[in-house]
Amino acid sequence: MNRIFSCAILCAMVFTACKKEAVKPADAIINKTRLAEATNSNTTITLWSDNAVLPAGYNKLYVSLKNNQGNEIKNTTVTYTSIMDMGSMKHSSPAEQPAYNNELKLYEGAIVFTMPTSETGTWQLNVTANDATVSFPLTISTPPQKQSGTFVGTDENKYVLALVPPLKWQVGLNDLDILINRKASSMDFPADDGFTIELITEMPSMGHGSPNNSNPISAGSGHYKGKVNYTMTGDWRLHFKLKKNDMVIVEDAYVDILF
Amino acid sequence: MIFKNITILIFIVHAALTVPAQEDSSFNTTITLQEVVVQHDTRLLNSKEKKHSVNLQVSTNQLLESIAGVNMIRRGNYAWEPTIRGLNAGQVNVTISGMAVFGACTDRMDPASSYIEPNNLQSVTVSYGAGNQSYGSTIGGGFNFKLKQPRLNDETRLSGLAGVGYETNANALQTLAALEYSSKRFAIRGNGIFRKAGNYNTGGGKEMPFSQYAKWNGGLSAIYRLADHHFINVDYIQDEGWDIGYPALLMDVSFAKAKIASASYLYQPHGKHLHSWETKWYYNTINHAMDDTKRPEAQVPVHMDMPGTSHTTGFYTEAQWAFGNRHHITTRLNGYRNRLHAEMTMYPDGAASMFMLTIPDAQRDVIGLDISDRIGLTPKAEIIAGVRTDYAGSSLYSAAGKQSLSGMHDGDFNRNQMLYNAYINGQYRVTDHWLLYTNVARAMRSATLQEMYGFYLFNRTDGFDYIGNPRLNKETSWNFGTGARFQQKTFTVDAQAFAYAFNNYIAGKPLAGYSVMTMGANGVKQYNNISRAVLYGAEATVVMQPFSFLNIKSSNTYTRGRDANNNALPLIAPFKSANTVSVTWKAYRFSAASVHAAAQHHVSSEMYGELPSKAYGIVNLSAGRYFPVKQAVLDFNIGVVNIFDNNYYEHLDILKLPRPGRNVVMHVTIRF
Repeated sequence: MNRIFSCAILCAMVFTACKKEAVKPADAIINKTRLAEATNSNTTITLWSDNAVLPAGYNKLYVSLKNNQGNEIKNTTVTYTSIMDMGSMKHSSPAEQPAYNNELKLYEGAIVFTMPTSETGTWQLNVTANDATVSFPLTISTPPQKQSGTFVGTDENKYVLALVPPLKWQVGLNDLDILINRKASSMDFPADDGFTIELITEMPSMGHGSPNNSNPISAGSGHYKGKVNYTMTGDWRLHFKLKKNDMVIVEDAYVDILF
Repeated sequence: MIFKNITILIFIVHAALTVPAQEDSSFNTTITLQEVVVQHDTRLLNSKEKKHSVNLQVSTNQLLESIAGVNMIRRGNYAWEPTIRGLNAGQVNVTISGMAVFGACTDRMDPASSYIEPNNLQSVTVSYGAGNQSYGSTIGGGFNFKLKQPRLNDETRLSGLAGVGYETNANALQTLAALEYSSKRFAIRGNGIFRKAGNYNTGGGKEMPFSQYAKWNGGLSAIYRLADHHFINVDYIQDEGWDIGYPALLMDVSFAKAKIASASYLYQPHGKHLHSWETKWYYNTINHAMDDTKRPEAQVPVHMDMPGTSHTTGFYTEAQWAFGNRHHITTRLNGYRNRLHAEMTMYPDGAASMFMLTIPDAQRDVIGLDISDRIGLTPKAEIIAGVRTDYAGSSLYSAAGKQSLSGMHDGDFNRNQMLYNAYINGQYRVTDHWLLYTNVARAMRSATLQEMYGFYLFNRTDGFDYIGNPRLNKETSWNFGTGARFQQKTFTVDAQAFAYAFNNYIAGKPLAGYSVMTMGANGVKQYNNISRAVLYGAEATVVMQPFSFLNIKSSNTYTRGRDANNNALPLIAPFKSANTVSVTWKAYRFSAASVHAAAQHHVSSEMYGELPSKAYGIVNLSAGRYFPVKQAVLDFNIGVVNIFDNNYYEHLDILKLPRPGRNVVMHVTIRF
């Protein structure tokens, strides 16, 4: 009797398992947070992020596309446009346009949100794919530390500098990646690879810095990569001096760290 | 004991109340070694020695300071750090009955000697340079604190002592006791001491804030005879200090705890060749926490916690052999693993707390083999020659520790070094009165874990934050010493000179472009090798005993050192002279002592941050007597230290903080 019962349970389990696999959507293996989904002219666009909360600064954003048959679309061009709507005016912010990532099975791009959502301004992200555009309203929170900033250069241009995650800091030597974009117009923020950068670290609460940092150098597409050495945990400020042709463009573009 | 006649026995009573030393009558030795015997049991001693029965009540600090050539680095009234002929920290070894013990504090607040009380001890052996009494490679010699062990006795008996002491300055009180049970096969001894002191007053009556301390120390030791010639011995010491002020430093100590345990197996066949063979296993753990919560706010810009731990586990196996009358050989294999962890958490106002590893989980593994031979060449000439080889591995044992240093040093943090020490001591008895002796040693040491891996350790002497250097080379030296002794019935004079020539001397060099971690620090230094340094000096002792009741002793020491750039080496005491006249008459004893030190102008402010020190002189007086009470002996002692209440400091005292002014010291001890 017992044996028959066990057998029945085992069979049930096997069947359930098979059934699940058959029905399970392809995106179930996506290891990201699903933010929103919208459909426009036969294309369903799903928006994903690394975390549920999007702080002001650099955020990786991912989309998956499906046609109205439910098949995944992998070979198309996807475009992000962020819009800050402040009522009287609108502007965009720096974006890294998505490309399909085979490992993630997602289109992967990024937006630097230059300010948090507030009473006077709201963010939306326009995603265009297969000639269809959908618009996702997003709430951008104030990060505990300033991860990005807009700085006015001595050349009259405005520059957006953002720390690129993962911001998993530890005492000792850490990889550092920053993104710099120039504000060409309120809707156009091209990456700027033309800087030489000096990095100075500071613990504001103690008044000292740290030795053996490596100045970030251009890695293309607006990215600059270097090394930062934290001698202890706590509050840190990273000061970046941005120079072009030995001319100081931004004296002190800084971001804040806490770990 | 085979090596009995290579030690000089000095019975120290009290550093400041020095009653003349009683040299052992078998006075025929090389002077690279001194042994201070702590007196416990009057019954075993002759009548002369019985008069010095208060010596258990001195502190380890005072006991060490009374040894010629030993000077103490003082950061307060507690846990002074011993130096030998100007060498300190990693340059001297400190062991407890052969066990390696390392303090846990990054600011050198707890030298291993601070976890030992005279009540635990049989004797202290001081060696000057490489030799077979050091349980490790060493440049400057070291201290071996030999623990007091209970004695087996044919008739069962109980013995013990109890004492109480009081000092008017600092209102210091101590009580101590020991009890020993002896039988034919088994003996056990327990001892304990409690000490507590408030702030002391400097000469002139000014209070020294944050100079208080409190501690207790307990020891338990047992020996069991398994069979003829076979013994098992276990020792355990626990030492706990708390509420300890360090007026010369930025922080005090909330607690300093040590647990020191060992078990050994002793085989004493007294055979034709093998005389004795001892094997010991040991473990000790030290837990230390600095504290700034009692300091006034103005002294504490940022509150911080700085705990540290030190764990050491090790062994040695040592055999003593005799081959005829000519060769007495000691072989010793020893090894240990020491792990140091120290951290700092700072709590700034209105900002996040900050955490760092100040010793990022550093580990030292040592295994060494030591062979020495005492060779009687002729009835008049004798040499002791030996070699020692060590493997010393240094590493970081945690991922967090390695990550912490990833921003400071390139490449591999591990260092494996081989150390080779060799020494030869010779003596020649010219006549019945004249003895000449000389020694040569080649010595080397690895950098300490602090010197290799320290992370912004603040040095109060020069006001710099220090960063370790895993690339440090071995510090090496050639040590030379020679001396002569003239001895007759009423007059003994012993004089010797020494010179050490260092290569790769380890010292801090300023690092440009590094910002300081300690608020108000002068800069950041990193340990580096300096190509050369020399240290030389002389010691002379005169003892006169014109009448049996009168003893006059004068002990004089001088040391001078400089590095390759002609900078004066740090922490070198100036010329110092200690002179004592003592009278013993029936059950009474009186003594008058003066201690003088010259000014020290040979300092390097620029390189080592030292400032010149003034000369000083103090006078101490003491009187005592003992009373036999049935089977027991009751002993009273009263003394006045610094009777003229002079305001003075020694050159090695950090920040040149004044030492205690006039102090009346009273001790009562009973032994049975």
